[in-house]
Amino acid sequence: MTLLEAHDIRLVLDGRPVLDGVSLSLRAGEVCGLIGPNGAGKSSLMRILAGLRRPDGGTVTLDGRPLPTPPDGATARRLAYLAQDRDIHWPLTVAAVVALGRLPHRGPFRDNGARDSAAVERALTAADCAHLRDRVATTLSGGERARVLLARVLAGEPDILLADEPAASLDPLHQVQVMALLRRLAHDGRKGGSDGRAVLTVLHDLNAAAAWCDRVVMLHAGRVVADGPPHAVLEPDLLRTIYGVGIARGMVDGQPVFVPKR
Amino acid sequence: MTVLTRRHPLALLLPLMAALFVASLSLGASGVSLAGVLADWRANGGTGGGGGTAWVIFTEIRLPRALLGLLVGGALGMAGAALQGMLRNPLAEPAVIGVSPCAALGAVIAFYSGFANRFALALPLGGIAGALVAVALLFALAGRSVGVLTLILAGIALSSFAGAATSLALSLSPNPYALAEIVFWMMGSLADRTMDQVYLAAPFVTAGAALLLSVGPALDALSLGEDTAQSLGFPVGRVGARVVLGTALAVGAAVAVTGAIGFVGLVVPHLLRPLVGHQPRRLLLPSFAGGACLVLAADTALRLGGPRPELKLGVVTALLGAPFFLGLVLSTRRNLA
Repeated sequence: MTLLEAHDIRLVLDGRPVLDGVSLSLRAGEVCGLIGPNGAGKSSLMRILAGLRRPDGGTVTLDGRPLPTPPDGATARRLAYLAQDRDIHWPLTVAAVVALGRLPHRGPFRDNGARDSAAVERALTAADCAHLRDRVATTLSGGERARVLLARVLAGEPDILLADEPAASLDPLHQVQVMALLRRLAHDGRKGGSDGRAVLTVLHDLNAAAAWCDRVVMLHAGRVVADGPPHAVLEPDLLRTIYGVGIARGMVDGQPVFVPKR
Repeated sequence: MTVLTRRHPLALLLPLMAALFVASLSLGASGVSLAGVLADWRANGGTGGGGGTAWVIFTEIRLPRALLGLLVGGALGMAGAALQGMLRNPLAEPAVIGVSPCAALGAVIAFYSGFANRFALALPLGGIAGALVAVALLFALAGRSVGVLTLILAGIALSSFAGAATSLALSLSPNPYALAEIVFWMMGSLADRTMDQVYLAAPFVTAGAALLLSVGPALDALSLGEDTAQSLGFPVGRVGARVVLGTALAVGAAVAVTGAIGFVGLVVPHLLRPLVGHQPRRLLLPSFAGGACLVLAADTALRLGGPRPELKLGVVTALLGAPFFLGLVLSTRRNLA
């Protein structure tokens, strides 16, 4: 089932076309990786899909209806966005930061209730930061901060998650944990009758894209140049054209690996 | 600090505010005590007094003064907290967006044009009008969806324009007496105010405070940046507009009745922030109470000084506030180093 759909998106910044006729549909139960070189328009597309920016042309629909831009409360409960920048402006505790993910679920003058606290606890555990709970978020390392902000998004229990480089600057263990978590998030719902959740994530690590994504969309110069299962999209000839560097593909322990050639 | 005050600084601030309010009512140049007021009230049959000196001093001089201290301090403290939350900058205060300088300009124009001499409320009405004009100009300059940077820049432009226009009015002032009156007014004071000014300011301060309280969750969301706040369902432009309007109503009315009282909006949220775990929403109400405490305390303290002419409240808060704030900044810097 298609949850979020972008059709023929165009965006022009300073007279330069950043997105030029991008169409993308995000289906329930899949992790979709968005890859492409720097400046391909990935983050701009993510912001448009999250309702944070109006495109100059084209439409975005959520459940078949136009996406409210900026998002309203009901949209915020359904769709969450994890920004690429990891700003935390006040020295809040980790628990307080993660609790911000519950804001769309509660009234303006209420503190978090029992349901909210339970969701926060689950998110802290899922993102492996329960032990950081009482730490001041601004004093965390980059990788810890990334996990805390991921927990913030998870606490909102969204059906659609748009994550801009959630695994950047994480060590190998936590990178695997985060990608496995996104995959679980998307797939778990499938078992229980519903269609599951949709995850769209910007990635630079081709190995992670191949290992964890159900589908990969490749963006280059504001256009979608490939959209399909990882093994079809992550194809050496295409990668060389897009990235401008030869990339060797091999198999190690049954897992595809990509190495840029010298 | 006990667990109770750490969790709920209001548990400390509200009794303190009440105590300072009573202190403000009981102290003054005349030496009338609250017991004397009560005796006077009883002697007149408990029907609201009939003209005893103590009763008149109480209702005509001290009550408006204490109530205005409460309202004005609260407005300044809460607006400071809301602005710091929205701009995510601990140095923000009501003057940053140009509201208080424009309110002061409005009042000065009322003075200068002579309206202030014709009817008593012209001065505060001029101040409120100045604050509202400031908001209109801010929205015109920064656009209807108020971005943080444009807001600060437009505020700085407004502030310097209002400052220059005020200086112009002063330099063109027809007589030295009027000049002195304007200058003294601008220094900020709670002295010699009437209940009329309380009645005028109270609805604006209340409406402004309600507007500022309503954006509490949005201010929390803004701790993670504008994009994240928007994605959580808080349109940043509308939040900014509410904060600006709320500040203009509350602080505009405060400045209009008392003149400029500096540093309260800057220092109070800064002091209280660690007590609420740095959460912008939870800072709002304590900052109202804290601002009220500071202004009531300063105003009561300067009355204890005794000899006339009385020191101006705005001068006292700035004199005490500036070194205190500098100390705070230096200690923060040491913590960071």
